[in-house]
Amino acid sequence: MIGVTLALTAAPSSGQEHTYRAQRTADGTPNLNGVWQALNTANWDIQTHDQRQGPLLQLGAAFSVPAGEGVVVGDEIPYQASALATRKANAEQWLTLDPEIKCYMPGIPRATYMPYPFQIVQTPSHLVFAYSFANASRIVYMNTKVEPQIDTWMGYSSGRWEGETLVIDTTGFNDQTWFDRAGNFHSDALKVTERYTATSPDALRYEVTIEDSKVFTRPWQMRMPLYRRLEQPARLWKYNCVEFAEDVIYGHLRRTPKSSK
Amino acid sequence: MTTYDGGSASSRWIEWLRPFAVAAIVLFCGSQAIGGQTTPAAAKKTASWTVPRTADGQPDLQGVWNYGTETPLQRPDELAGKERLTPEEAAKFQEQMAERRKARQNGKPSRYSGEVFDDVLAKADWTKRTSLITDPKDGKIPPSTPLAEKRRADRAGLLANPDGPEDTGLADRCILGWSTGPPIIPGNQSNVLQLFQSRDHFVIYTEMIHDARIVPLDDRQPAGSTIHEYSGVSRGRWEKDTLVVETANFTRHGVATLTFVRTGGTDENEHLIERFTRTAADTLLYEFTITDPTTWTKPWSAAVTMRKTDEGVYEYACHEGNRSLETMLENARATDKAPGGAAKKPRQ
Repeated sequence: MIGVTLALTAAPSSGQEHTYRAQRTADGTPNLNGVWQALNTANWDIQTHDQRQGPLLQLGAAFSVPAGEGVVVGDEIPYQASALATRKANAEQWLTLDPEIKCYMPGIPRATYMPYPFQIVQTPSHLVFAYSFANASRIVYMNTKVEPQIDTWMGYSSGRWEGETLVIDTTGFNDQTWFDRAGNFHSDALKVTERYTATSPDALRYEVTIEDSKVFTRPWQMRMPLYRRLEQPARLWKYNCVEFAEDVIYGHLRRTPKSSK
Repeated sequence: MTTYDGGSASSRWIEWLRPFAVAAIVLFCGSQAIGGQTTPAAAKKTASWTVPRTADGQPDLQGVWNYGTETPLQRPDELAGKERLTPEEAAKFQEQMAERRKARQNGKPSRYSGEVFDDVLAKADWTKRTSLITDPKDGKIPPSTPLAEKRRADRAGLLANPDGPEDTGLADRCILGWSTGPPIIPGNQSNVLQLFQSRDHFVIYTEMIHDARIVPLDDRQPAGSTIHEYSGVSRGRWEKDTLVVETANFTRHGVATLTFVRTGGTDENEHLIERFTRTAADTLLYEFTITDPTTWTKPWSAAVTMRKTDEGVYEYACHEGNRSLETMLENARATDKAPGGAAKKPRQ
């Protein structure tokens, strides 16, 4: 527990520790334009996990779960007792409950570390984050506090520069998105604070603080590197997955439901 | 806005149009419009105004733009040969539309008689153009090819009694929005987009269906012919102060605008040129030319004037709340069970 506390205390200062100075855009801010992607197994489980058999035996090794180190700082998620039961139920019913399976917009921060790229387009007043998965996106309003008017999947994001670091506060979420395929979840009280800091021309340090007084006993953090897609030129190909989720959602309404072969 | 739970795109549109279709289609279609105060060619630039520049020196097209209009895409038959209305005609139609709007508000509520649509009207600028189509000169979409006619008939048949989602429209399935295109053709709601520019990218962020179309401005090669996206694959370049966006690699499913439902939709041979020109502090001229030799017998072009707005772009979570597709399929299954419905056999 002491270790966790120390790690959490240390995390916010990490932005000041680093020495790399990013290239600048024409308006003088660190240039984060590009196509980026996480390379980890956090979408399977944000905590440290063993390898395990996937849910469809027919897919064998192609869709089983590789082991992975957790991205949660301290590797512990401080669930309230009642929420822990929900998390367990979510994990057990993953195939029917995970919004990813239905191609729903993945929310923040999950969109960042799904196994698909995202693109940042940066202007002085706004940043566009476009995610391959489900063609999801969000607009980050710089130096402007946007007040959520209604619950959303991708939230209302306000950004600012703190030296080399892009800091984004996002609220206005609904309670429908998850953190991973392991059933980690949140409520509509979720507040997400992200910090993006370039550590080299082709890598970002991504730190995110999760606050949700309805589900967790205290704020907690995730941290991981993000990598630039170096294809020349890189392009964000959209994963328009709606059509692949239609039989999950509407298949029972066909004249003759399809069966998996 | 956020969750959309409307009915079938085509039936919605037809239902909505029906009150006007018989008696007032001329009045409706010829009447109100946002933008297009002048002809596109003349609207390029006003004398005393120069386009603002971004920090990178590009013409600054950024902002939230409302492209709602009630100028019809195609010129109504009743207005054949009449490219523009007289000021008197425009004023009369505007007055009639205001009356009609008032009657709608007082009448039985319906999905599209509400504030969403009327907001657009209230903020609409009024033009005298009688069609968005600028070429051909008759303001009509050119004749379809026989292949496209067959496609239209096939699709209409499937839509009438769908087996699964793929038999309905891309908008019904929340894959593409009606008004997002590309090309961007005004629809009856969420006619709002935001434009963003970095040095190397232009983003067309449409509210409808939350599509962020990212247009690279570098000299990259066209995408290979074996990859397709619903919104196509775009590349952009500056021609003086106009951003020209070229898009190909569309899917064979075509685009989802209602207009195209009626024409059978486009296919993978679609090729699109769009031109974005800021014409004043608060107006942006959007022009496009669409070519699809397996759909139409010749290319056609249209122009839409977009107006700057201080509205925001909302998250349009369509698929996530799509109850209408479920209802369409439930209705289809109920139809199967109805007397005579069993004649519809599953497709092999």
